[in-house]
Amino acid sequence: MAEINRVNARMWSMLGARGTFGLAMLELAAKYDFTVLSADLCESSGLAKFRDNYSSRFYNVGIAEQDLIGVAAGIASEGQNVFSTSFAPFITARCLDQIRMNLAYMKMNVKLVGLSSGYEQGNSGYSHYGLEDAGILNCIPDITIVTPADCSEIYQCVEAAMTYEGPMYIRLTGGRFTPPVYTGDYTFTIGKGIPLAEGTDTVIFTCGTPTAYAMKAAKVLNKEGLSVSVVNMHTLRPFDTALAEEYCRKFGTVFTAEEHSCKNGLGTAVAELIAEKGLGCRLVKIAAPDRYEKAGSYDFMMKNTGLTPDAISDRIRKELSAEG
Amino acid sequence: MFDENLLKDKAKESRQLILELAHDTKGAAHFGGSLSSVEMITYLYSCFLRYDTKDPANDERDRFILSKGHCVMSYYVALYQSGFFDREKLWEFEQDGGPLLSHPVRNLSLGIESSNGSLGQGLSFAVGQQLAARQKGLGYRNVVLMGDGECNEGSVWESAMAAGHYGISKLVAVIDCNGLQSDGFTKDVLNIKEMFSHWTALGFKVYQVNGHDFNEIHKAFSEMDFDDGHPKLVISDTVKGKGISFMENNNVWHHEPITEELYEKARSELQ
Repeated sequence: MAEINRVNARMWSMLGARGTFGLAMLELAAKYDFTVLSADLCESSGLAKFRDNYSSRFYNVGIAEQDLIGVAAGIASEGQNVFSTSFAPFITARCLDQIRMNLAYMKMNVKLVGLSSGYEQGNSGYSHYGLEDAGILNCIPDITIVTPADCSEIYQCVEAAMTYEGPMYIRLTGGRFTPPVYTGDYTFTIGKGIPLAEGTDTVIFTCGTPTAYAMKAAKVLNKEGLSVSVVNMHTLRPFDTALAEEYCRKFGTVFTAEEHSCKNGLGTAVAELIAEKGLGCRLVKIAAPDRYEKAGSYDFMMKNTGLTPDAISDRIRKELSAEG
Repeated sequence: MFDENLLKDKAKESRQLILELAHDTKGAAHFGGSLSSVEMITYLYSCFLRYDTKDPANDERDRFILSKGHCVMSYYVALYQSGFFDREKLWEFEQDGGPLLSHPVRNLSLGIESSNGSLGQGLSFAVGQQLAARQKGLGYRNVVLMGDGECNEGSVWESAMAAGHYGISKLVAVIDCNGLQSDGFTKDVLNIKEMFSHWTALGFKVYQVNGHDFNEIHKAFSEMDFDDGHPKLVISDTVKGKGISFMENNNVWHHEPITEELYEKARSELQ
């Protein structure tokens, strides 16, 4: 296990999500037996060094995501753990039926890695954003879905995926210089949310890069006398309902912040929990709206979606004061 | 090993069992494609594929993928004839909660290699299994049975490109070219003109056979060199609904229930 400390956290943050992923694969290749597939995005995935050092464990199938999934399943059916990578929309929506049939239905040990999910592709626009990826897969049974909060957690998640048996989607948000959430050692377990801050007025459930922004927002609000909890719900499935319920029971209003559609992501998971358990609290979802709007840079999109630290703190202030 | 008379007997029994299974479901069944693929599947399980029914998941087994997953009846019958399970089990076909649905569900203990039913996916899976064989130094072969209609799926061509690119010698794709698909003749629905040259262009070694003639099938498979750096494609020209006169080339029987009267007529024809 790579040590999480300030030096590593800073280095991974500079490498960014994809660079950290590639580095993790390279470093873990000596310890674990796995195969990596790419659909012509080896360099973009940070996997060039892996390809060069472990050529017998790497295949490029070309720009053919449906084949990518089928080939991965075929290799996995022979007992290999397979990592398949592409940009988030292309490795989910583009080949969804192959995922359904090969990975979910046959329960194949394939890890899908969705690169530059959320708004990371900035000016590329909605063709390249990963706003529906987790939600789409959340409709397909038996696929574990994880959105790591920062680069340290990406590393942890990739290592956890080495020994995790079954289909899994690892959703990478954030580009280079993604703000670190973790600078010290902690335990990452698939399916177990992580409380990051304890407050008495409300909670923000979050995942991916908004985690760091939620933490910043909470700090600002704390200075103003609003005491805010932050919980890193990195795993959408299996969802840590026990932890989410514990926090929902404490507050009249709870928040979710995610770089994902407001449909079928973290906000929806919390909404379902509140409804099904009759928890009675109000939910405010901060997420991409259910429509395609004007696109632009990462900062532009995060601002418009209300996911910057300032926007999150403004929203919480507003919603809680409206509550009286 | 190759005994044409024995194969013909098996094919005859296969058609009889397909009729019985379809009749006993009391509902619609995929007659057409099951009947067109009888000789090919019979040949593969009798003469080509290497397997051990006492150890069905053996690493060295050849892997057969029914990519045109709706044609399960001829497949299940071949698995029974080969000894993967007994004759009684065939009657679990389409039984609630049972393992023999009308599209295959991966179950290695029964000899079923992959779950299919959504077309155009078996070839990719087989390419993956072949790449894994290379990694592990195993010499098993893959046969994938597809339909000509299935080749409408773009994913078929994605996997064909990969098979050609990686020069997967131990992969045989068979296209059951019965000329019909759900909405009619393949040449009317989506005419891809020339099946043969598409595949040779991608690096496949292509064979064309009368898919109801065991000698032709045997000749093609006997000629194959499984270390020549080329994936293989067999264009198996067949008649949809083969063996039952009123079903032959009649697309009504793609997926249809059978009346008692027609069942009796079919039964007498297959004697």
